[in-house]
Amino acid sequence: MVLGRPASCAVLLLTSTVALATQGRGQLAAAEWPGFRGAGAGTVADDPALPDRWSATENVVWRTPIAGYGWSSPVVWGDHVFVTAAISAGAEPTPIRGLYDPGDEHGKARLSAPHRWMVYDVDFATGRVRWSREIRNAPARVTRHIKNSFASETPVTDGERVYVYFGSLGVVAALEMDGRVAWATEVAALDGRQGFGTAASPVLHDGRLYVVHDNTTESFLAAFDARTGRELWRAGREEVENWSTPFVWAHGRRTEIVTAGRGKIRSYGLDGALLWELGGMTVNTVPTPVTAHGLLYITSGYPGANPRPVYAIRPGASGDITLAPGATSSEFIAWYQPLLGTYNTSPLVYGDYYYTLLDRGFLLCHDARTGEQVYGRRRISASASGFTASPWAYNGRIFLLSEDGETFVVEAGREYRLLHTNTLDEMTLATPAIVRGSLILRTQSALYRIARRAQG
Amino acid sequence: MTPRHGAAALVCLVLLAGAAAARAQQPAFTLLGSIPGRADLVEIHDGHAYVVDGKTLALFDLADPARPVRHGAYTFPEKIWGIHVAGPLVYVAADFFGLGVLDATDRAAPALRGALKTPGQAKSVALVGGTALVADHMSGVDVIDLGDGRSPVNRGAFFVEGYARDVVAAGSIVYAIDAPTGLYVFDLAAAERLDALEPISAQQSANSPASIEVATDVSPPLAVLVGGGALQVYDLSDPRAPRRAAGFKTPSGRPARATLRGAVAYVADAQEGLQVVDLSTPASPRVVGAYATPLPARDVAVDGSLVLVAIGTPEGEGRVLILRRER
Repeated sequence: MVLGRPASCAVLLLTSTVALATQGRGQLAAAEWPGFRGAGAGTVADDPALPDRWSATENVVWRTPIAGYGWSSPVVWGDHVFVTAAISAGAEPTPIRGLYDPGDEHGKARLSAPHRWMVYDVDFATGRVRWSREIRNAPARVTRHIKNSFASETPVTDGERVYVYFGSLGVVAALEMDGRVAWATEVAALDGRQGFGTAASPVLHDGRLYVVHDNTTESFLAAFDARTGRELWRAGREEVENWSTPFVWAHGRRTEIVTAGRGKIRSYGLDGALLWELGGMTVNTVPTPVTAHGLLYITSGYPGANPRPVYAIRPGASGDITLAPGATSSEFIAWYQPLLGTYNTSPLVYGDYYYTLLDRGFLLCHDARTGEQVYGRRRISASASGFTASPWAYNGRIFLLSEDGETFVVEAGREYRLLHTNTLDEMTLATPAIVRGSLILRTQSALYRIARRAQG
Repeated sequence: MTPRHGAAALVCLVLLAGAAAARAQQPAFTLLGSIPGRADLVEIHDGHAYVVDGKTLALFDLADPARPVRHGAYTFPEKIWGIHVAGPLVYVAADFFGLGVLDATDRAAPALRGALKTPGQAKSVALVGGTALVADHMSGVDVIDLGDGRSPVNRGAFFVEGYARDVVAAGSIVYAIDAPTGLYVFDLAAAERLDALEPISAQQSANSPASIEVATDVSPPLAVLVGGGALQVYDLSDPRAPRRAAGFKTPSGRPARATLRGAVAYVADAQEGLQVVDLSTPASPRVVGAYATPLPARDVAVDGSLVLVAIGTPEGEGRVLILRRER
């Protein structure tokens, strides 16, 4: 369990969530969706209320326009749905979909106009914007890829506060549930090697907020006291850029903070000490690790790079666990696939299977325990622009959201079968939240709550 | 003179004679004229030069190579990465615009006959009969039915792992490269399902290949990849399974593009100008001639004895040199 603030109704809710964990395919029922990909890495227990089909008008409980531009995912606690955005005082470049060579023109846009860096609280029941809070009004301090945004880091909440990190501004902040700023602290905002901007989300565990910021000047993983905002420790990192959200891996032996990186995967103890590291990643590490079946899955996959690894790691490692040349497993690496990694999307482990959604519109399936291929590359759609949102699953179905706003619904299991497609007809990069029978889905301009038969 | 001295002298004479013969066979070039203006790409076809500068393709009459005459030009909304000339039509890979089909029947006023937006950035185009193959960063190699060029239709795509950079065809066999390192072979004739075309072979090549050329009129047939500071020479005796014969570092270590004529590669070799590389023994490429250019060489085209070399700097200075190969 990633979250752990004591003695609150929220904890009770979460406890009851755990009690439901044996339902369905072993996933948690999503009473809350506290951070990027929720507590189940994109999976929740089966729930007949969850939607299977939708469109801009079908099964829409509400649609709320969100001012500004941001690819952070929504998070949900109780009747609060939080999203962030940056509202430019100038012209915002039009994002281009798909994978491409951006060059300097599209790859490191310097947008000098001031931006209003916003946090929104949307009412889960009605879609009404309960409050919006401007954190800063200032120009970004870094450049960005035109497909990135200045609000790509997903907030995280423990039900008492919502925590936001704007990496392009270098601000970490905590807001009370009523929108008051509890604290805000400045951290560095430095360009990465390619100037694509930032995206790694903050994570929360046991009263501490963890932020990673890799750049060409002074890369770090920092821990903050979630109550006060005081920086508790900072671990320097030999990295130059990174978009992967750290993962708090709580297993039987200990709790550790695992970070992917262009150079290495590194795991830190809760005191910031390096526990283990693993070389062999590609450039441009974006996917977030996930855990299932007692394994931690970590991947990166810049298109065409060799290798594009997936590692399934056993708990308890220490030191350098880099695979020997030619090896595909070791004491702490249960399996390794050299050419399976994805660029932007994070993997999905649903039931017995590890699903890979390639950015260019292919799905693959492997045995999650052994890494053996179940089926190879299956083209989802020849017309989709690309896939950045991470896949999710429930009710025996896998959902694949394209950058065009089309969600391809695929049957889970050993055979690939495309069932149908749901269309919202607007660009979408954010990964949805799944909570209490509803899908909270963010497009470029709006937030949707989608539920079967549009139940309130 | 002792017998030993006599033998040594004989060897020297033979070597000198051989060197003189080799020099006599070395290609030499005469500068005939030039086309002013920066040029990224250059092609030559039927006595005309096709010169790309950014988004614009311009046509020049080379009837008198000393005095090239500009016919007309067409400007696309996006950067042109590759062209393929076939009769009066010019197929253009124009970045996010996709594939453009220019009708240059009236060379003074080339007109867009048709176009097709490809999924990503169009980088290169090749032709197999009525099918265009477009290297596209997003989809791989798009297979496009051209019809009469007015309404091209995308039939599907060959998948490549990285960003497709260039594509060439030899009959139904298609060779494609991607960044950072892939070399792929596809069989267009065997393709039954164009929604998930798989290569018949894929291998790692040089780092960052930027372009590929093939020559099938020589023995053995050859492919040359340019990039990563070198030429990568492949033996295509089995066209479905290229065998790497050599990696050859050019004098500059930064070759830009090349064109093959038989077993001879004409290489636009950056600050080392035009280099002529003999590939008749594919495992042992050797430079057999050169032409020093006043600015870095960026592209080269050859038609008979006429050689065009696009030269220029990143700052925008440049022109196309019109050379005649004398031997």
